[in-house]
Amino acid sequence: MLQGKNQITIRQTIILFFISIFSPAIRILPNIGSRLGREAVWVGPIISSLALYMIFTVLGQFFKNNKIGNIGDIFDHSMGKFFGVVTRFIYLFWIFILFLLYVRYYAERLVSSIFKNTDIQFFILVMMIVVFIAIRGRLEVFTRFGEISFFIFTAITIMFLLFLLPTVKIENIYPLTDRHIVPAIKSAYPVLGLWGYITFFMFLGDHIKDKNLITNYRRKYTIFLTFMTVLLLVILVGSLGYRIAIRMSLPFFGANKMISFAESFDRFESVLLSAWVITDFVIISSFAIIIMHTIKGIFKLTCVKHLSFPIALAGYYGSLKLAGSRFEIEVFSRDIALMINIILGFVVPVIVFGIGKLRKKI
Amino acid sequence: MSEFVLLVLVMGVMSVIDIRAMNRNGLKKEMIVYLVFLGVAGLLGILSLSTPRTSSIIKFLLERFYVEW
Repeated sequence: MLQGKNQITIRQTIILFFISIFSPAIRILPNIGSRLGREAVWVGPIISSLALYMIFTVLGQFFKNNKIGNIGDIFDHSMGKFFGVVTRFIYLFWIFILFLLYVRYYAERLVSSIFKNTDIQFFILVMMIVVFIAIRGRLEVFTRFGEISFFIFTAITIMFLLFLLPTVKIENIYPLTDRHIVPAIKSAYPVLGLWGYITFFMFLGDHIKDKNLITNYRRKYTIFLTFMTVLLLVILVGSLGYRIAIRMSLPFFGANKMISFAESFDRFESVLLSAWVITDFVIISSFAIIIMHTIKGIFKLTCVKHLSFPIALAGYYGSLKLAGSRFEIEVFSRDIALMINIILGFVVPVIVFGIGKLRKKI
Repeated sequence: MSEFVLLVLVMGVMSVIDIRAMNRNGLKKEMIVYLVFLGVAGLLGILSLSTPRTSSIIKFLLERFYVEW
């Protein structure tokens, strides 16, 4: 549906969020989730769905007031101007780090899966040129691209999961006993770390036409995301086993090498890799756009499209300087990034909501 | 050395295009913010080109947070 000038709907925003988390989800969840949850890894998303439902409710409460533009305005409104700006700067810094991290992850994946012995600078440069063009354009054009790629990527993922279904061994994921309660709770850690990105997308609030309707859709979105994540984990860990999933850096890619259809079609991983690059493009561009709009909110700017060049340039050199190897970014994601995502994605909005309620601002 | 020249050249050309457009539209505050972030990007460029690839931002952070790896 066509929207007003530079206006998108909450449905389009959530679709951008879904497709953005798909790339890290298929990389992180089977690996880190299996390490923490073992056979019970697939219970993690079900536990996390409670937190996601809660954050949708909190965001709905934030945007009940039509005068609130984006989540940054809520920080100002609830905690006062000074603490609001400090909080916005913390978010800006962290989203910038995530932006660099995903640029690096994208290049490292290509180099480690298909294009071995190729310099990552080439892949980063190509991505940054495309991102520069995308973020300089109109937001609704990018979100429409996100919608189209969401349907394509969902179809491709479901097709891969169906092909993998015959290889699932039920003993890899079942039975679960009382000794799996603690691992199941622990396996919610990486899931929450990714789902917390929904808060970051609310920095685009000024351009979201019907953001106050987020509460109406919360049940549908939570069920969909939980179902897709559980399906992914059941099939991946069910076919590989949690011990192998822990040891593989790209479990979804490895599992797809097992697919052989009618004894004649195999080697589908190039299809997966192409779809994966599209989702990488969406998450990198989304974070770049969020960075631009956070800067806009902090400095009260009227136009931000010119910032696309410094951001793309910083993305290129920053991602090169961010890490020396893939190993470093994996350790950083596991031990630091997921934890900070949970704090900024879930804990801070709830605290801000509490402060706002106490001060009678929300 | 050629990479430094390329960085300066690209930054110079793009900033002239953007600043002229902003000036034409009277976006003074936007211009200041643009130059600040261009400076940050340039600093990252200099840091990336002048230091060895083995040193990294994450390595620095992991050491500060005492993360064993």
